[in-house]
Amino acid sequence: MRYIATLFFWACVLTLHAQKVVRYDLYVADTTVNFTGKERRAVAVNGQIPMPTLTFTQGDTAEIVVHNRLKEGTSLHWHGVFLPNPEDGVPWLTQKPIAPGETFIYRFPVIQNGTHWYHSHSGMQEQIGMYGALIFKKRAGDPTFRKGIDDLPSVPIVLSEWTDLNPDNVHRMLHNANDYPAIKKGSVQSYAEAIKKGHFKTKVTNEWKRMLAMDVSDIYYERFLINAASEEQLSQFKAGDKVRLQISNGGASSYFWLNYAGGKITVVANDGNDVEPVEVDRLLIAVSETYDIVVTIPEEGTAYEFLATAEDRTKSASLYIGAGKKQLHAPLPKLKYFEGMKMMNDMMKMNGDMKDMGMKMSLQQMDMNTVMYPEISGPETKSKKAEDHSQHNNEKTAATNSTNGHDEHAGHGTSSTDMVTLNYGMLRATHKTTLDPAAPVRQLRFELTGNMNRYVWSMDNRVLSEVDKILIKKDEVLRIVLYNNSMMRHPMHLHGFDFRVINGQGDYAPLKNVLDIMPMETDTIEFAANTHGDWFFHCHIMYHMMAGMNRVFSTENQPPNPRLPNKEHAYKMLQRESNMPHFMFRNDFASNGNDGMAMLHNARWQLQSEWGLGYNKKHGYEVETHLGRYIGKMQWLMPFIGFDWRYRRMGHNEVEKNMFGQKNSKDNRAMFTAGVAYTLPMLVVFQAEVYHDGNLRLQLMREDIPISNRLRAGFMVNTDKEYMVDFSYIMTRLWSIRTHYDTDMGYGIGLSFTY
Amino acid sequence: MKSIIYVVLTFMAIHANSRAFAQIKNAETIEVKVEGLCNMCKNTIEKAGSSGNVSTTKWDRTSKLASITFDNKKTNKNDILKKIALVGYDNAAFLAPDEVYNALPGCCKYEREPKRNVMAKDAHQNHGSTHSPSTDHDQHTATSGNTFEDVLTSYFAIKNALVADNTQQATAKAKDLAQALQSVKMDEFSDDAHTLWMRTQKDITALTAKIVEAKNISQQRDTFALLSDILFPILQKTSVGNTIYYQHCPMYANGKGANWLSTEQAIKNPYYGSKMLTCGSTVETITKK
Repeated sequence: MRYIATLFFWACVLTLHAQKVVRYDLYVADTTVNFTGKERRAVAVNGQIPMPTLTFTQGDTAEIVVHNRLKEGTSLHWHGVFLPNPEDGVPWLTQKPIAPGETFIYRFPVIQNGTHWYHSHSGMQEQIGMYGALIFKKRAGDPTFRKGIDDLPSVPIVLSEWTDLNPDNVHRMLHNANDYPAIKKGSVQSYAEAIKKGHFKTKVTNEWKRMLAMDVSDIYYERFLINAASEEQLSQFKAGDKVRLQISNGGASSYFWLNYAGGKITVVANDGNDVEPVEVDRLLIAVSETYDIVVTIPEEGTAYEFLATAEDRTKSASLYIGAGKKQLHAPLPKLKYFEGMKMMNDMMKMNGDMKDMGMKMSLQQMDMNTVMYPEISGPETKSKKAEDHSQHNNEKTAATNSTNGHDEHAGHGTSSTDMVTLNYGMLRATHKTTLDPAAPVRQLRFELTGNMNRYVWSMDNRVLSEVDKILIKKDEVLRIVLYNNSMMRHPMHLHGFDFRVINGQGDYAPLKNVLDIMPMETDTIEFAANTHGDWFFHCHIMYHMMAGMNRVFSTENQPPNPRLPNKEHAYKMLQRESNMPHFMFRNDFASNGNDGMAMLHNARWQLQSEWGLGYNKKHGYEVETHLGRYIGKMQWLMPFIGFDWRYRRMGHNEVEKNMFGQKNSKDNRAMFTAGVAYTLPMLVVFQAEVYHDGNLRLQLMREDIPISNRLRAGFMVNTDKEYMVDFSYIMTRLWSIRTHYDTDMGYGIGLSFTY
Repeated sequence: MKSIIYVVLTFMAIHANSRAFAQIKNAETIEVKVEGLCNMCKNTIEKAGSSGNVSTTKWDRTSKLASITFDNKKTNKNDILKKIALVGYDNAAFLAPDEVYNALPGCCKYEREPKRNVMAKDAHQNHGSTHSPSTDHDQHTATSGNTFEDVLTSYFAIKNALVADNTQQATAKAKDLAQALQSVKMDEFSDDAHTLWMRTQKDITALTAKIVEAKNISQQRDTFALLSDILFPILQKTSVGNTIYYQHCPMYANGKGANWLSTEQAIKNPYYGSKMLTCGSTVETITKK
């Protein structure tokens, strides 16, 4: 009897072991944080940011219970995880948003191992705290267990960033091409700065090609964070220890450079998949990627700085590994923006397409941004004789080297050509990753497109709201060729699957679920679509995703999703969320009247009203309202219709004549109008319109010419013999001092409010 | 309306002025050890440790003590000490980055506390399990004894000098190449290579001399492009000791492009050097025979 009991007991343990359910309860609630000295709203889960690290072992069943204590809907997406589609956590695609007060259970078997992360897929919640590490451990006796790597002490690290502005407001400002973030970052690239640095011609060429200032990121962040702190220390480790950092980039839009003050970094896994260990000096982690790296503490009594620097190098976060005095890593020097601008000028055709000059770029191997990195291409030189200067520098360093007896490598100092930076070509899987050769293959090609001026990001020049789901067959192999024809890099993320990155490693092509693709690069990825469902494929820069850079792969004949019965309606909601209208308002309270505009616009449409309201009848009151649609990838052309209204008391028998001799004598005027606006080189907008009385008006206008860091100029001239010149000095995000002269209202000075 | 604007402008002017005279609030003063030697060090340390009405730092040369007064609502001791370390000065909490310390002027190079390196012994054994692409350097790979190998060794040395934007080095290595060219034995070539060598030897020598005489790096690069194009067909017909990569930069000379040879698969472009180091691609690989 006892024998049977024992047997029964063991049987129970075994089944328990095989189907262990690991449950976490997550309470999502509003909170107030203070990263910068100012209190701001954030979202915390179980009272913490980042969200708690969830740990499972392969073979477990994950059960995550979400209690939504917010006043808005929420969701959780399990990034990089293979799971049934209804558990994927994309509101309006795989489920309805978790309503305020609702309790929602995600439940899926853990069938893989590795470093992953999870985040909210609702609105901008990911920016304000809803990101956390998700670790799947290998089970005991796993044949892929790597001694000396998988048995190291490991520390989950979540990188992120913080802005004191409401992220919805950040998003709105991006679409309005507000350059206040550039002022904060010191990346305005004004004419004054261009002249000072001997790059006047570069700046003119840049504007000739209708580009705004170039930057590697668009948002000004007050803080960059490692596990939600600017600085942290792991003092439990001592000299000789090897530490495995399980890093996920939970930033909404920031790439991070990773450097270590204690020597080389060994990369052992990427996006939750083991790779052959590869030793590098540094790596750039794209938004939403994960990397497992191993670092060593070389000396006693010293902590070594693990430095995560935002790609735009405005700020960084530090983790000190070890106990004792902190050995710092040199901060990354500021970007040489004008060198980047020059490079961009060379790479962009007049029509806004990129040209790669036959370089067949792919897999981050040829990083054009290197021209901007002083640590590789040398410090910024002021004159045109850049080459001579750098030679002098080299002579100097060479001289100091020989006198000090340094070896050749240490002597590079400010610029180094020996530095090894990780690229995708170096990643090699630890096992064969080939797909079933018998499976049918479908090839798809996407061109990543975008336009900085209006912040529209798309694929094949279509935002999500303009396309249907892409139907695929379950179990077919999708081979996707991506070409980035935009000016920014994009971390493209596929839900629910790992894809092979065709990188020259043959059968050992690495598996990833995020592919960072730089401008002009072409990359090929492939995966077997072996799970039914609607799978999101999108740029993981949150603001690009919200602008419409998304697609959905949908398997044919998929079983119904109980969490989302009305899929057609849901898809419409999803489309709507990725093409929201943005509002802009500006008014100049000036000594001679009020000048201003209000605008509502989305990816294609724009409704805009401009006014000039004098303080007396002679100056007059005027409102012009236009509804237009932007055409083409670069959106330089906008046909519009509109309505103009004007009241002005003119002198006795006074008649206005335009340059075509057409007359206009009415004091009170209400006109329908139709016309086109076209952006010319130098970002001058040419506008031609015809009023319903047959009058024609042609106009040239340029706004926001960056004279210096905070000084802007603009002008307008038209065939009604009207003109305007203005200068404004930007004081704060919302206020500037503006002075202008125009033919209607004369000279004026005032305070201008821009929202 | 106008008066409002004047009021605003005056207010701003006063505000700007008042900031200049402000004193440190919530002041806290600490004394910390900061390394350093001379008055130049003193200037650098005090500048790094002072910022407007947030902190001021005074450093004493003899005692090596820094007296730091700061607004404890706006900053803290560690932030200031980190700034001091980042300009090159080790202190009680932070050690300066090696690059920054090395770049200090000679008179400021204070003696650093020796570190106890526990890793020194096995530092090089770590490589065992790792595959690190392209870390072997051109200089080390070619073996001597074969005189055509000497030619290649010098060629790669010139290439590396151009990669490092170092004109003088390129000139010196071109002189080595001129030497090596004189002692190439014909019998080590295959028949095909031999014919080619005979035909091009003069040009190779002339181009090498041109690199030596070149006044600036761009002349050297132009000549180096021609030299590379001549050497490549010879290499194709010669047995080489190491894998050699024939690489191409499509941008050089306004899009005409240029080629070079390398023992590394990773691109290190000699035509743009540090400016566009990784621009280019491997066109052909000559494997070890």
